[in-house]
Amino acid sequence: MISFQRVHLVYHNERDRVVALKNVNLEFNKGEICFIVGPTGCGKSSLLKLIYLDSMPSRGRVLVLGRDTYDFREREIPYLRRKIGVVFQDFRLLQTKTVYENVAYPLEVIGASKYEISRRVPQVLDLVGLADKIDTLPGSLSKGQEQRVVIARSIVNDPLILLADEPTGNLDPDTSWDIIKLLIDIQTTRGTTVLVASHDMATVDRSGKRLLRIEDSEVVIDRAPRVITCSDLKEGE
Amino acid sequence: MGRYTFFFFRELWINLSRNPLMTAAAAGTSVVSLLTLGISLILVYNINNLSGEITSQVEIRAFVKKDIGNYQIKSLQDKIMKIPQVRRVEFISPDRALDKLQEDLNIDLDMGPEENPLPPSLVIRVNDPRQIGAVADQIKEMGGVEELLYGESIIRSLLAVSFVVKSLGYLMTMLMAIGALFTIMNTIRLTVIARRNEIRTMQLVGATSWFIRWPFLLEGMVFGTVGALISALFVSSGYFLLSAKIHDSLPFVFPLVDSGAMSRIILFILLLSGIVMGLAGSYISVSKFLSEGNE
Repeated sequence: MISFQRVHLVYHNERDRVVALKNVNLEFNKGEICFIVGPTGCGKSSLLKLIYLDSMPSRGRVLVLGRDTYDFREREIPYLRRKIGVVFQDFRLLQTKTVYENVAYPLEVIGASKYEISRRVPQVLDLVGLADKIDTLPGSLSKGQEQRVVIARSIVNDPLILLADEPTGNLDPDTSWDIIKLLIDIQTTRGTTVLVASHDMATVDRSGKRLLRIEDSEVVIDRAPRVITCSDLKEGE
Repeated sequence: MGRYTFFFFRELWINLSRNPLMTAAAAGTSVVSLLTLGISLILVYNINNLSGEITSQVEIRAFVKKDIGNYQIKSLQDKIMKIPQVRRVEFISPDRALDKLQEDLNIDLDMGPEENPLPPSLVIRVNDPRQIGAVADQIKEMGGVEELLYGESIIRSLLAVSFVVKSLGYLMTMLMAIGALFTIMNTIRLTVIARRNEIRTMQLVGATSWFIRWPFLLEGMVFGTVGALISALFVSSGYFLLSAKIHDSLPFVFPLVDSGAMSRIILFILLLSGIVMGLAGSYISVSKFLSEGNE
């Protein structure tokens, strides 16, 4: 589904040359969920950006849905992005649109019918527990609620891949665990490939899912899923 | 647009109604910019009208020799009419010339036809006042003409002044149009800058460039149209009132362009300029942020 082959990513500022990723080799399979952890600025967000083509590798290859990202022409990029849901760290909600309109936007983009939109949007809002906030503007929501709206928007058109960049940042531990459970639920019920970047090691470790650790732009740990215990779940709740 | 038309118009409505301050600022700016353009258009059209009016009065007066008969005068008139640059040739008999003189001077000379000293003449109007010298030369060669009067040097000065005034008028309108273009474009740019994050978000959730661009283009068109309609209303009403006043007090001094015709011209030009400027402003601003996102 997603493959990183000897990927290096270097950003060039006006003065500096910043290495974001060094020699990354990874495979993510269809329907898999993986948590990517590491300190702030270690390269987690950069890894995700390479998947939704917000960045291109400086060296090496990134294959998304079987295609080298360098093979996508500029006008093909929007069509790839429609297959990838992204939960942005800074939410990126459209401030002049209501919760309903924000979530409906990806469906409008693909030209879904009014009926389809009116059926699917309440469904996903119900899934994230925001059915009663349909007509609210983002400015009137709490951080946790905004996070849920972004998740609803990212899954409303059933993407093949869901990328979540720090979805629990700025949230209290209880809400963070709720969000993580929601992402796991999306992966298990919809078969979506889910990649979650987080610096909150304690919360994601409870899930027992595949875990990558990035330090200084390099993948230092790639831990396979483990069986989770009752205490893991209790601890989270 | 196609199947997205309804969505784009709904987006337009959402953007305009939920950003009332920005909408008012952008529409207000385009009203003011187009207002100045409208005023300069009125000036230019009236300068042109005045200049056309003056130059159209330019004529050659050919005094015919007293000893030639009516038949020869008619033949001379036909020959002059055949000169391509000539628009009209009018015969002025001595009686008519006398009547006109009495009328102009508002006196009664009480003169019999035999005592009339005025010679018969032909009044020649040309299509282009610049050709008047060449036409006069051709008439001179025809014979039967005693004297030709056309004030060549005055006409030349008149044409030169008219050219300078007209050119200044065009230059002023062009500067106003460029000023309006930049002002409107910059205002729209500000509205787009305020929403640059939205544009980026739209790109990241899979919207194509045109899907993002259309609502902004419609918005630019609305700002331009609203600005044009309001400013045309102000400019036209102002012109209507002013021209009525001038017409009442100084009817012969300024031959003004008819206010109805002027209103139609103003509406057409301002509407066209407003729409083009609004569209251009939106297109350029949005495209800039779209390409930034693709880098």
